[in-house]
Amino acid sequence: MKANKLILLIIFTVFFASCENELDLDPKQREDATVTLSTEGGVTNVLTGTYALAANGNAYGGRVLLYADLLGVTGSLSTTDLRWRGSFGELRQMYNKLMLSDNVIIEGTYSRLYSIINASNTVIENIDKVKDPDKQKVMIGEANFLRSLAYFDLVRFFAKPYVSGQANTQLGVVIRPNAIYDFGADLSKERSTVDEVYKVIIDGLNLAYTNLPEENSFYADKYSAKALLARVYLQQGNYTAARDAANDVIENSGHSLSAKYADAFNHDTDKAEDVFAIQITKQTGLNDMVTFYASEGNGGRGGDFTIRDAYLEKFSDPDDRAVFNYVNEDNGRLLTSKFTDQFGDVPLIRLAEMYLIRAEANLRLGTATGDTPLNDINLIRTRANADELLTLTVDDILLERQLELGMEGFLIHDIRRTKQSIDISADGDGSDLLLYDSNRLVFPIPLKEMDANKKITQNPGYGS
Amino acid sequence: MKINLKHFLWLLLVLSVQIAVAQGGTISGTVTDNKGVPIPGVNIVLKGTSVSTQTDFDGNFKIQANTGDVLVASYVSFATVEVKASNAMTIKMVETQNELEAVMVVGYGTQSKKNLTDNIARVTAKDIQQIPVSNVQNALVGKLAGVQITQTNGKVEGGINIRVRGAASISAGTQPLYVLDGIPLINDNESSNGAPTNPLLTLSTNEIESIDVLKDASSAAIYGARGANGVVLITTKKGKEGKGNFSLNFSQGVSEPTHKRKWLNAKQYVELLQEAGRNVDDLESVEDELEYLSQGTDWRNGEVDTDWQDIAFRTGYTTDADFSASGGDDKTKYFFSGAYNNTTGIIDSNDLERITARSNLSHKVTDRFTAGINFGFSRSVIHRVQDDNSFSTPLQSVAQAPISQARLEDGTPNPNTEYVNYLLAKDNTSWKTIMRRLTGKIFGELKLAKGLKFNSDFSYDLLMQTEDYWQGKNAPFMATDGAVFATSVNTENYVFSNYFTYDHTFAEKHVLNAVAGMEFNKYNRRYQDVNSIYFPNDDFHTIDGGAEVNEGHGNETDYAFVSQFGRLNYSYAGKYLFKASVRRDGSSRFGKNERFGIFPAFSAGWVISQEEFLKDNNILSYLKVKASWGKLGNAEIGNFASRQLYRPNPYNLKSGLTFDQAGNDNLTWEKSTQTDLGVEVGFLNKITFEADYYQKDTDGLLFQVPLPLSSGATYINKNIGKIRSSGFEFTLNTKNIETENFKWNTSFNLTTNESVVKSLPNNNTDIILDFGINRVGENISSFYLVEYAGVDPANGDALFVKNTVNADGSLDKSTTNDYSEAKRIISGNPFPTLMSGLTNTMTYKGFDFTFTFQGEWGASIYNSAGQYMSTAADYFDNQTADQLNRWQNPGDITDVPQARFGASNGTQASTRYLDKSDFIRLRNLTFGYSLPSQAVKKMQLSSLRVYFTAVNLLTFTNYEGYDPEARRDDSRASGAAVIGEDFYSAPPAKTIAIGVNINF
Repeated sequence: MKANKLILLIIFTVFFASCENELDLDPKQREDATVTLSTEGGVTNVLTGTYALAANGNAYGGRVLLYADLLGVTGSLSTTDLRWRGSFGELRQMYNKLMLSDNVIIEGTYSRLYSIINASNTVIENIDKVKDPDKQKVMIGEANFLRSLAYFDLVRFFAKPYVSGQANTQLGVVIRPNAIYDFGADLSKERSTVDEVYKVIIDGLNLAYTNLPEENSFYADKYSAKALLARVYLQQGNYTAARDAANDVIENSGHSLSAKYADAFNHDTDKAEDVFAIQITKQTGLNDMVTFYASEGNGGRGGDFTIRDAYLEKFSDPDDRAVFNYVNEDNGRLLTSKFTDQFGDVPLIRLAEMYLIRAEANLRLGTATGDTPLNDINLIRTRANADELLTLTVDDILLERQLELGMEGFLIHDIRRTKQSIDISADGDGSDLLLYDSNRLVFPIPLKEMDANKKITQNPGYGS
Repeated sequence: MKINLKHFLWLLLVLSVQIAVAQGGTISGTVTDNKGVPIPGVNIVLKGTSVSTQTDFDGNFKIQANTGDVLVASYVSFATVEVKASNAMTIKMVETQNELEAVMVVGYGTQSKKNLTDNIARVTAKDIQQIPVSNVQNALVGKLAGVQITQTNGKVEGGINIRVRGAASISAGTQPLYVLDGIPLINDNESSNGAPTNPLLTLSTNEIESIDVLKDASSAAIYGARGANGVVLITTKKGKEGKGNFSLNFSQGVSEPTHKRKWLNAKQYVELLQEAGRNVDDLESVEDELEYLSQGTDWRNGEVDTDWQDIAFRTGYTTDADFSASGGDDKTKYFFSGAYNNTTGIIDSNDLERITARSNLSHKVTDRFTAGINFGFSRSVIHRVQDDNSFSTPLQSVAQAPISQARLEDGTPNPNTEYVNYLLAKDNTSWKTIMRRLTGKIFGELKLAKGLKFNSDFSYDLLMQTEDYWQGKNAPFMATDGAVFATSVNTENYVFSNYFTYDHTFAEKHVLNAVAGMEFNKYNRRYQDVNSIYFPNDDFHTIDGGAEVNEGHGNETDYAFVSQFGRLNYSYAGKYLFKASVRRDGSSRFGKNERFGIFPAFSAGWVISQEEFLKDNNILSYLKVKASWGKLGNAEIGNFASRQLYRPNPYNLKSGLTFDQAGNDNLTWEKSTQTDLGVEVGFLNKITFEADYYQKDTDGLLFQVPLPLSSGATYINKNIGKIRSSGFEFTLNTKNIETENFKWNTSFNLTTNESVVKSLPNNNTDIILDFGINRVGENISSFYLVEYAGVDPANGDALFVKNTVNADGSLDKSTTNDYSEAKRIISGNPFPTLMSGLTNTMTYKGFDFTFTFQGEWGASIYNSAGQYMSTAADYFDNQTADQLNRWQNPGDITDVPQARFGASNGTQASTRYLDKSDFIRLRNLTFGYSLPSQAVKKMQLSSLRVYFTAVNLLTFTNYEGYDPEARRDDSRASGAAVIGEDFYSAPPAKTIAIGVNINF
């Protein structure tokens, strides 16, 4: 009997001692941040992961582009270029210019863009783990590019427009100058001014331009940064800088227009015209342009955003771009052919845009840097088999932008920088105009941000 | 079933029997009930000695005693009798429903209720058997004081929420720990389609002997860091000595939804939409779309009038068949059972088919050593539909326009509907989930010395689930000629428990019971899925049929617990009861600095009725007061919630890493401290009444504290905040009538609960999640909405109460038609504050009749689909019929605003879509008839009973949605199930069934 008890006691004790070691378990699909950020491989992967964040549907996988056209069209059946027929109420709010601060789609994009910013900051601050100084430079350049890209869309959607030729002290968005590692701290912060945000964007892109190589595979290169810079300067009405930046890309990047308009879209790898594109594969990324613009057969929802006659009537005949669309046989909707490959890349900056920027800036400045505005525009038109223009006004160029870049995420931004109004009246009689700086064209700061950030101010016209 | 209960208890008694000391003569006799039916397993003690025995299967016993000695015969649910011994004597025992004699399962042992200082609620087999529901938990509804059981909605596999004495947590797990025969059960929702499944639907009620819910700290502290949400102990049936018993049960039933909503017909729909279009000067857009929706049919004259709700629902069927065989001799006991359930759900394309089997065996190897095995397995095949937030789930069909045809002439689903036609999903997709569970325990018990024994249990639980989601070429949103998604997950849990038990009585009055032991528990979960696309045709439903395997995932996670525990019970003369227990738990889930926790509990009771001054009081037959205090933990915080983590996030097929979780090194379990004060009173041996007050304070609450989104992260896990759950529980059991032929018993319970937030992170900053808020001083997860103020009679505008704060701190109660001017306020509670259950049982000769009413008061439900379905035609969604009361002319008094197409007139989130969900429900009703025993004997059976039974037969409520128990089941972005929200959620089934129960 005593022996029995002794044996039991021994088993008991030994078992205990061995069990407590079993409590040291590590996650198998995750990695401690301290481990990730302590190695070159880890930091390099965080940069690639930042592109992956950008490739989400609610960021540059498509929705950031979609919003610009939803907000830009009149949304009135008799006049609208594009008609929203989708069932997502949150997107319909944009189409109707009646957004609410609890709009979860807006919240998703806001949140995603700031994840890109924090990831970019993390790469920049941990760059010392990368041994090769050349590689360090490139990575800093890419991180700055991605961060500026995110801030640019944040400030364009969530703040009152930048008005050229004056101090832009209106509220922009929250600037996070440093990466955040301690989320236990109070992270409340007020929005900086629009001027301050633009400064961060431009400084970042200039740094990116300096650091990045001319060729960088499908990642951002020198000219991706410059092209984005051209877009930023145009938005500011800084035509000289916009012209020079666009000209630099056209002259030096080695990119060229594709032979046919149709060739500019629906491909899996970057083509000559792609200055920067978001890479989508079957495994990674989500092409949300296809989701909302394509038929079910092409991987979309049947055509949530359809082309109306008002848009087609803007084209002269002939024009390849006027017929670059198809009818969804399931429901009779007319859909753009720009987004028909579910696993195709999302072109973010096409070279064609640079010609349009250079032409507009040259025309407004009365210069002919690179080429004359008329030649630039006719280059674009000829590629689409449209008749050449003989004379050119700024309005012609703005129209050309709609013809060339329609449904690619430019409309509202062009309306705002050129101070146009949107006529949302039922008959298009001008009885109900939304001015370029209307409260209704600015996204609300998401309610979740309002609730958790005690220092932030909401945009006018939105509740909390 | 009663026989089985007796045998189980008898087995327990055998285990604790002490060797009789030889003494003079032998007395033999028989024990019967008052009808003369022998009772096996009765404990017979020679008074004042330790000489004892039990009756055998025929009720016979032999005991060493002399004529004239006093024998004490006792048996659970019978009154204890003392008789003078005589040879060939017959002892008659009178059945009582005396709850006090019940043996409660307490974790690592059992205890009789009369010595209990804990608060434990119990149901036994007879309370839950033959209720035609497909999961065990649903059979418990309304029968346990302090335990709220809610199935998410009416899907057959729907998730279950059990709240024991209100919530002990806001963000961490709130479900109790389930322990089956000592095995902590895997209770992970493994659904991939958004809506949770109930992993415990693998259990069948026919194998369950009893369910004990440990509610207070005193009882649950033995489960330490896992006990804060209560512990549900499930005990399976066991064999008993004697002639084998074979039991068969078969039943069949039909089901309907408890309630359907009323929708507009084609004529009303067209009228309302045209009006809405006209009111915004845009009739053209509206009619353009009506043309499209009607696809060439004459929508102006109601040519097509489709009732889409009818497409979503159907008549359900249930079939239950089960058998059990049990028996044994003095060494070996056995129990075998098998059960089959087939439930055709009330929702189209939703059904369940389950087989379960169990064998429980024990063998007395020597006088000192007993070993055994409990082993159960089950297989459940579930055909599922998409979650509530999916366009292709059946119930979202109600959004379709009644002027759209459901199917075309050729029978194929109409593809040109406003939203994707559910019938496309019905015809071209399938979701099959198979859950397989193996649960086994091998155990040994060694008697080391008098009163001292050692138990060693090794248990294993394996849940294996596969899911197969097939989409054919014509499935909604299909662009890859079909797709198949297949998942496989294996979750296993093994537990090794070793403990000593010591029982001793000193000087006849000091009764001591001590338990000490240790336990090691390891859990592992391994998951894989794969997706393939481009199929040759719709005949191929597996991954291999696809031309391209385009996506796959695999992951694994685990946790471990190492625990030591001890418990001491002491009672003096059956009057003064004391109990202390402690458990030390260590877990891999907690941060390194906070890895071990100690959970003590103490309780005491005073059985006043045992005192001299009350002992012979015939009116007050029992009186006990008791109190307990203890600490518990809630370790359901996720496996690696404390770590700051990165996750893989590749880009263009290049590896990448992305920030995944904000870390907190000090994260640990939530600590609950619970106090319980109770009294148990018995009158005239007919009425027992129990009242308890409980207060459960949870500190160090785990929170996913929302972060400013501009930080780049959405939340951080923190142990900050306190909540207090408190309330009263009352249980009243009465024997109203008790005659030879007619018996009528009533059991009534009532629970109040208030769960209030006491403190929160960041200096008590409100935590707002969607429509809910946690604010100090308010109910947890209160609704937080803009207050709807009805309609302006002058112009039909929707109005909202401003609720902005005035200079003097009061709220501005004036109204506005500008939604953005109105502030949100606390506007309701998603949890009931009062719950009640009432069960009546009547028997008259061979007839038996039982019914249970259940009621809940104080909760509200927010219909987040209201912004689509109740908007007076803001869009093309079909509308609830109440929208016909819209404002039309100046002066109209109504709460439905003017119909304005696309103008969001009152469609914003507000209390307009919040509704009180108080209800009373006839939860179940059973009427049975047992054939007279003579008739049955002729058929060579021992009993035959036919019965009619029903679930959810009647519901009384003013709630306007489908049903107070229909809540949305998709997990939305936050990952947490949404509390108190309805979103196209299915009502539960109303089922009636008839069955037959035969014993050989």
